[in-house]
Amino acid sequence: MDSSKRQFLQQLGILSAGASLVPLAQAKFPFSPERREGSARHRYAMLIDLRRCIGCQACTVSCAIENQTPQGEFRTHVNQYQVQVEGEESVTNVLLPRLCNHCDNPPCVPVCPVQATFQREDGIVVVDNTRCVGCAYCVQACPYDARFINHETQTADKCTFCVHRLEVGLLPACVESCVGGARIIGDLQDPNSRIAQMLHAHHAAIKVLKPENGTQPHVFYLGLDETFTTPLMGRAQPALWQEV
Amino acid sequence: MTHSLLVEEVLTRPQEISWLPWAVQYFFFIGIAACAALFACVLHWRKSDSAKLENLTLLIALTCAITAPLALTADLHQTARFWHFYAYPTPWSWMPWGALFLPLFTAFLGLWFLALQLKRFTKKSYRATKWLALASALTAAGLLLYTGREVSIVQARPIWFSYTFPVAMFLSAFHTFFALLIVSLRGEPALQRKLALWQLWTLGGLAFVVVFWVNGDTLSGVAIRDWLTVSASARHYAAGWAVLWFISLGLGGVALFQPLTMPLRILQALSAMALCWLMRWTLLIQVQTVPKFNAQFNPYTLPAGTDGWLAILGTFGLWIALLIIIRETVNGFARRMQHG
Repeated sequence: MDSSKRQFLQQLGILSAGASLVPLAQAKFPFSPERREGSARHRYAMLIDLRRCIGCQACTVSCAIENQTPQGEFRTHVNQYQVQVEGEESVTNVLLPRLCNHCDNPPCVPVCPVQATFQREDGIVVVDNTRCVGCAYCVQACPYDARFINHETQTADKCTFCVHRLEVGLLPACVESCVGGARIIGDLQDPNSRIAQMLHAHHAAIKVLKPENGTQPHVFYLGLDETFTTPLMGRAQPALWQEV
Repeated sequence: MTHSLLVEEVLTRPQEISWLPWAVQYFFFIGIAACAALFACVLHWRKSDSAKLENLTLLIALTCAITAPLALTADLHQTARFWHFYAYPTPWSWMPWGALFLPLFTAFLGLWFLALQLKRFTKKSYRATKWLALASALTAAGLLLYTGREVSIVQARPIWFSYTFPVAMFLSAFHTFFALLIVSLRGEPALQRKLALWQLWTLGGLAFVVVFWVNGDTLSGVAIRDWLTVSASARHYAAGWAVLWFISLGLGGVALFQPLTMPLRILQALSAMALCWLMRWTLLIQVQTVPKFNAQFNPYTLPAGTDGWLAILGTFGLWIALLIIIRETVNGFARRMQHG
């Protein structure tokens, strides 16, 4: 064999060995969780207009009925606080509906050891409870107490913005049942949606919970005093009956 | 904020404790097993010719390394789905690294232990043994790293969110391992003294790390100080740590000058184990009672069933049973070899 032929075959060998690595590079082996399911053309979020909340817990009840959570376990509820300005006589109530914040940077998702909890393209954070191993790592990682172990399924459970209802054009149970119309859900990608317009109109007054955690929550509050955006331990008197 | 508000929490939902006492048992046993494996590997590679010490160390390591993963799988609420860890590999989360390291660690340790017994009975030594020792040590380091980081990356529980967490876990486990080794030795006062000295060093290191952690100007340091200020039970746990630390220090100090009697060595091992266990209990279970947002603490009482006392007693019982079974099996073989 003359040398040029040998050289050609050698180069062919190198080329084909290299080619075998191409599919590996194209496969883009992921090193961080990726969003899946849903449509990237939407970004669902909720605005809670506290000026309209009366603390009736209709959201708590309708969610429990819609999502069939076990007794004593809730995906949403309304906290209630009695507040007095120091040195003044009058007392008022602060109501704080709580639910999953469907963060843009959700700390619960990357910790999941089996990728059972994931964020959809439309921003909704969900749990595949047929895959979840019930390790509760996500429960620990959520800064908002929004997750719990459902003792019927023995897997992680949380608010899904009633995605099964959204997908067929219905409102989430809590929004549907809200007596004062305090809960507003919508698509941030649509500038004409009510939520997008309200967020724009009240830009300066909008608050989120624990902004210092860098989670970029997508449940926004209108009419919430800054006192309530950070943890209350040590700053508020716990319910009268508790001793710590 | 220009106004000061007096806030009373009238209605809220406390959060349930979702990492159970099983997790405490896992962290307790895996820490000791990993430290024992590291120590045994050093013994093996330095060819220090103390086969007895290596044997004892491996016995501690192996029994703990069998108990720990059983406790861990019980902490999963869906135990039967443990195979999902292998079906859906997720390298960016710390937890699934445990699914990789744990079985390898226990397998390497088991083979190493077997190789050592074969050498003892057949006088045949295998070259692979030293590589088994190294592999055990490497997986042990992986376990110490992953268990520590899995907890200390959780910013939502700021008390955990510190690089000192894994170091404190490591040092408390190492000091307990030394105490266990001392109590299992027969005689050998010089060795006992040396081990007591090492135990004291790890105790000193532990105190330094914990003081540094609590006083640190970090998210974690501030959160710990807040907890101690608000909660009387947190102060009780801190007092418990201090008392057990001083007992361990005192007994270790005496052991430097004269070999301890058996009851005192048992007391030393018990106080070391109690300190190691109480640290894990406080950090893993009690920290979950600290609310993430509410003013109200999350209530917790230790139940009697499988997720409570039974988990704790059961795993300790299993460990003791394994110690007896493995030791007696090996001794039984030894007797048979002696008498033909």
